Amino acid sequence: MHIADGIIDIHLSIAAGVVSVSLVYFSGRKLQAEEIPVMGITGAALFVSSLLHIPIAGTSIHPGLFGLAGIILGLRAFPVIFSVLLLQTFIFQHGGLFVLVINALNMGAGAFFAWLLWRVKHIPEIFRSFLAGFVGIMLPAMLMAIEFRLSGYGMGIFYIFSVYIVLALLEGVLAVSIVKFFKKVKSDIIN
Amino acid sequence: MKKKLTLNIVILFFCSANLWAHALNLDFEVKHPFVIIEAGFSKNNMVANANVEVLSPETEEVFQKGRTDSYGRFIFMPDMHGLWKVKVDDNMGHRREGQLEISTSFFEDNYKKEDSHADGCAEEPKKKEKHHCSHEHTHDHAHLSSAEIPLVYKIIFGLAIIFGITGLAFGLKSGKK
Repeated sequence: MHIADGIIDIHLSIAAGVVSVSLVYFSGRKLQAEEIPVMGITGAALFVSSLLHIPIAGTSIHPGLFGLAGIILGLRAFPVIFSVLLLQTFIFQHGGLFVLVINALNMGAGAFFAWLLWRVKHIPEIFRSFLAGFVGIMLPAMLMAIEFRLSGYGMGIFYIFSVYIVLALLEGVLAVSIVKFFKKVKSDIIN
Repeated sequence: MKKKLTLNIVILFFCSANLWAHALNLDFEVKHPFVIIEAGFSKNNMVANANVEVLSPETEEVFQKGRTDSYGRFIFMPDMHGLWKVKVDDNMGHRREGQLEISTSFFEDNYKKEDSHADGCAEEPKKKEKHHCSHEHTHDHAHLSSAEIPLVYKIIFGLAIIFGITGLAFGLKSGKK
């Protein structure tokens, strides 16, 4: 999920950079002090979860928790994802520095659509949370596949889809259980 | 009881950290007259079938192209001294570039003689046996990875930064109020 430098077309990276920086600004505006600890804890969870790698089909994938970040943080998920990616790039060399903006957009889109799904109240909560977790992984993976295609790189959309669907299902189940847990112990976090 | 369980989970989590590391790492082993490149995400997760490009020192033109085997290995035979560049890509967005200095002594006669008794080792298929055969003067290792500082320290460092920034931002925002 963390694309390395030198893969994505430079024009695409510049365009993504403009969008990404604007989104960090607009989604981080008028931040309330009460929101900051939750953002910090969610950021820490995102940071650590992506270190758990799962070897699959000759490559390595990892959980992202972007769906969960969308459920908990809503629009605030984007600056958190951006900051976590920045740290991961410097500390673990996960993904390239020049494509950080693209990686942030991909993963931020997953969190954003997860949040939109979570807000559809007439869907039962268990399905909403599963879908949010699922979309949080599948959407970034599909965006990554499209970017690879535009840059003439990689193994194709079907391959990426088949690799990430397993993880997306797992994250869906994880999102259901975490939402259930929060409902019991501190329901205002997910409301 | 609950506290103990949480503590155990945290310890288990950090102890298994060396199994993680998601970035693509490169290992170079010089076994005269070959250079063996090993690509992997971790010791137990080598990257098979990844694209490899070897660029020669002076021209930076592609000297050799190919794919890693099922052990994540790729072998080439340098024909000149200098800084060789290697690019490895698994076609899933993970890419790593490395450099390897081949000195002039690599092409000297005594280097070849010293190495001649170790030829059989290069044929060994298992990695562990191959490392036992290493000789100080003839076999050089270079490791290019993000894991030179233990991963646990990096995790702690990253979390410290996150919580530090969170605390600072919270303090500033609360102070303004």
